[in-house]
Amino acid sequence: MFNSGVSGAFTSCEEGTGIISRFQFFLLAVNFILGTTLFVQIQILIEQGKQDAWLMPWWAGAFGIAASLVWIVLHRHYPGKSLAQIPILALGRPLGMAISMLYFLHFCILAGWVLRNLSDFLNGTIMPQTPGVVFYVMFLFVAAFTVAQGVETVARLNQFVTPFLFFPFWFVLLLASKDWSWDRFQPALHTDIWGTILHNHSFLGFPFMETLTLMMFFPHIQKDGAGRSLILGIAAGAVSLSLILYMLIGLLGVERASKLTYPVYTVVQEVSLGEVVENIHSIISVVLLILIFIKTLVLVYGAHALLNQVFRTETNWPFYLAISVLMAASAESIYVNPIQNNEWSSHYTFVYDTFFALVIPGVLLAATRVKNAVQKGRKR
Amino acid sequence: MGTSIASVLMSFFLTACWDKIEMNELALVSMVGMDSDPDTGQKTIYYQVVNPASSVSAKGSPGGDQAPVYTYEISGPSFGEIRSLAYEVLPRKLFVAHYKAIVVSQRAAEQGMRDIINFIEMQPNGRASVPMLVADGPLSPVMRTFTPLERVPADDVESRLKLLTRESLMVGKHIRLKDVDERMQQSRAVVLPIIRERLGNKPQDSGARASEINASIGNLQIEEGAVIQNYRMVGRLNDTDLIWYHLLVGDKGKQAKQFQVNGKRLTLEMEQVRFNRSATCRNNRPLVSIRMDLEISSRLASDYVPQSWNETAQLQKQVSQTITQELEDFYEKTKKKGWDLLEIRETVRSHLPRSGPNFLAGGDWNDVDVSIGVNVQFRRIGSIHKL
Repeated sequence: MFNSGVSGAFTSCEEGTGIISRFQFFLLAVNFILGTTLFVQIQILIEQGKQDAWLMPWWAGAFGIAASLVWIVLHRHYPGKSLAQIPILALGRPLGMAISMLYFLHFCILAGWVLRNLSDFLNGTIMPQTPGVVFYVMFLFVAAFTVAQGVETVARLNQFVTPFLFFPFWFVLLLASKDWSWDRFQPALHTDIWGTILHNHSFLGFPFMETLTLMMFFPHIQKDGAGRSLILGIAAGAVSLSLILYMLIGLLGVERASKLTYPVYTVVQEVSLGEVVENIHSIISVVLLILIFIKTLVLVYGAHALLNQVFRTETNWPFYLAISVLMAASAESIYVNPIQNNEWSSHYTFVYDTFFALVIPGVLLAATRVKNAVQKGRKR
Repeated sequence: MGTSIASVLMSFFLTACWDKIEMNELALVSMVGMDSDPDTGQKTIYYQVVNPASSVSAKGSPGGDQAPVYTYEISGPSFGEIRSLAYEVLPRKLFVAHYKAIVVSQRAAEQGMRDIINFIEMQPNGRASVPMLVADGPLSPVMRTFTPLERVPADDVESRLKLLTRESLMVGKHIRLKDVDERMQQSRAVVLPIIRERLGNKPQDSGARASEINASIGNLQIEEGAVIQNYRMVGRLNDTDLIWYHLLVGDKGKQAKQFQVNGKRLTLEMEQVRFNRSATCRNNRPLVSIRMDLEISSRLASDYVPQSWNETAQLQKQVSQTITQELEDFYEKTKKKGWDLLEIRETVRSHLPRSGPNFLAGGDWNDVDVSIGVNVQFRRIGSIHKL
């Protein structure tokens, strides 16, 4: 009785009833995983995994798929419900709302990281003078504008830009292949890659466990196809990362790739084709910026949809403003410098993300099971 | 309505007012010279800035008597600090993203180039894909030399290096800063071209340079090679040694060379078509074998051309023997000096990952056996008729 009443109220105030296709959701998952990973993780991965670093995404991706199975099972119990509604249905309104709000803060903090990585990149490469806040406001404004148009717009925008990311990115990497050397992989598989993989647990959290945000899209996916598309998306993201690492090792070598701040950027910067094609790194900058934008977009969508579903809001713009202010503020204050960020991620990212991606969903799943068992007992 | 307000607002964000760059506010650096005084530790950077007023166009009087480039010399306690000190003399914003060559003074190279390489590599606009050269002797004359034909010295140097890589074996492909960086970190050796100012009364004014017929006087010259090991310049290779060195590391380029065959002098052009270097374990010792296929041609021969198949076979055999002998001599020479120019250590490390490190850790790479095999094929001829 209580159950159906609450869920009825939610469906009535869900913003629109947008439907996105499974393929669109798949693309969202891939771009979400690539997002900031190309800025932050590449250099660390190569430094740790040496010439065998390209194996690391395989393991991390497998772990990400395993984690996503928990979310998918949880979602099976609440078809048509998003991450914001499930805790309330599972644990009741007061406790459930508190957990939903935790997720809201989680999204804001993730967005803070994403935006800060973005401004670090731009300040470090092409726009050294521009203050970070300008980038945050710019990205959040456009993201909020997109989200306000509904979930279909978010998915279509992503679907529309993906070919413009995919083809230029791989094309410029192929142009760089003049400097390719197989020697850089030798001796192959002679590093302690398994030990390294287990040591670098932060890679499991970021980016793979962060894909939990995509659970906010689950109710909107055509024919309940969320699970398979998410798994495929994580797999494709991991394979892309592996390929990118492979190319960077072959093109830059382990020594340089683990020393440079933005190896993906440098590799394209050094492309030089017959004195005509030179300095084409702005292409890669734009690709990376759009990828980051997609990640921001997903997080803004997640945060806003969550507030909308928990508080059944009527006017939207104050919430966009509030979300933007929160995200920009967390971007400004998330870390003092990248050193602090690295230290944090090597110690705590895994624990932090596990709490949100595995512990809470696990508790929710357990609570649901118990509740179902009790209800069955009463019926008898 | 909302959409139009949003689009107007978005357009404001696209102006990028903080990082706007105007072309005529930039000092476009074409070549960088880096020097370091070993006694005082004082660093000096020479920025060769393109003069926009001297239009380097094909026709007409090129911008009157204006110099095509201006060299700014800035000293300071560190390379980083020089970037701030530069504006004491420079009226425009430094733009280093498009320079074409880096010249390092010999004393800085001998002292160690680690900070020079890191300084450039660490900056996102540093451009590590440009060739590096070592200046013979002091740096300032090299940075203050006008070149004929190509008016901007950086273009001149870049073009010469390209031609030398393609048309000779005197300069190799791996002379870019990024190659030096990667190889130094792998404890391999690199050979960089040496640039010097030719003797003679140097024209100090670009007009005089342009009107002087003798292009050799006071021009720049690229010859010999500087051996860089562990970030330091440890010695030199002369032009003949450079040929053997580049053959032994697999560089492809044509090179004409005079050989003694049957007591006759014969100039042959050779080109490497295949190169293979591998390491195996033999008698509990690593054996590095280097195999190469060379194509020779008598295109540039003015003295003797074989007339029969027999003579050709004999020629091939003798040339192959001569080259093998020269390569072995070159290897012995470098071994004596302790230069791992044949990349023995790297080959053993990557081909014998299990047993290799023990050898390298236990002793030095001198214990490694090296076998060199040269296969010569006489393919192209200029004229078949007896000269």
